[in-house]
Amino acid sequence: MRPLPVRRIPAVFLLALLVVLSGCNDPALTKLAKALNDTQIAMKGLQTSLITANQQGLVSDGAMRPIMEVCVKVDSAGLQATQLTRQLTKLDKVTSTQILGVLTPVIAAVGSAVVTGPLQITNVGLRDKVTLALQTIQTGLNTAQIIVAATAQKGT
Amino acid sequence: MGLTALLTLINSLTPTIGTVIMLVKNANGTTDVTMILDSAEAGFTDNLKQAQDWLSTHQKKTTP
Repeated sequence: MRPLPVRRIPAVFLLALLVVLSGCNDPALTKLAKALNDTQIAMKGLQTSLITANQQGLVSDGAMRPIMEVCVKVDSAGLQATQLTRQLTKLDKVTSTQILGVLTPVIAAVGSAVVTGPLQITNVGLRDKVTLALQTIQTGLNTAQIIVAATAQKGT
Repeated sequence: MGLTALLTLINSLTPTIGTVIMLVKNANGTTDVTMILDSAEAGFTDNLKQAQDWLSTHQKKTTP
């Protein structure tokens, strides 16, 4: 019989611990990931609706352009926030502050777009749809902001 | 079963046990954060391209 593989024991249990821990998600991190994913889903709905409406002549290029410019900002910020979040196993103060820096200007832009963006859309049904989509996006971004702000303040 | 055999068995089963624990967690309704972030990243990337493509093909007309 071979000698007891004593040297392998700590490594194996460390591996087991790592494997088990990798299945555990920080609740704040999961909530943030869900808020970001909800935002991208709402963005997809908004952009696709607008582009289809534009192709059908329901919304002019001029009315649509400011909203699409906000969409680029939100998509870029969402992508950045997602990539920052991906590096983490637990939401920490430094990364939370970075994510806040990415999200805060975009939240202001969406807030402004909710008020002014749909005004130029003459089709009432589309205007309501765009307003609702922008509000959903605002909610998703606000949720993400609240989560990261809480971690940034706690300093964990 | 001797201690060595038992340890050898644990050594060989450990990664499998870890995987099973993770699968059970996911089957219990918890979604792995990586999967959510994969979805978010792919969605934002597609959306960004879609919006940029639209803006580049519908540029503002400037008066001479």
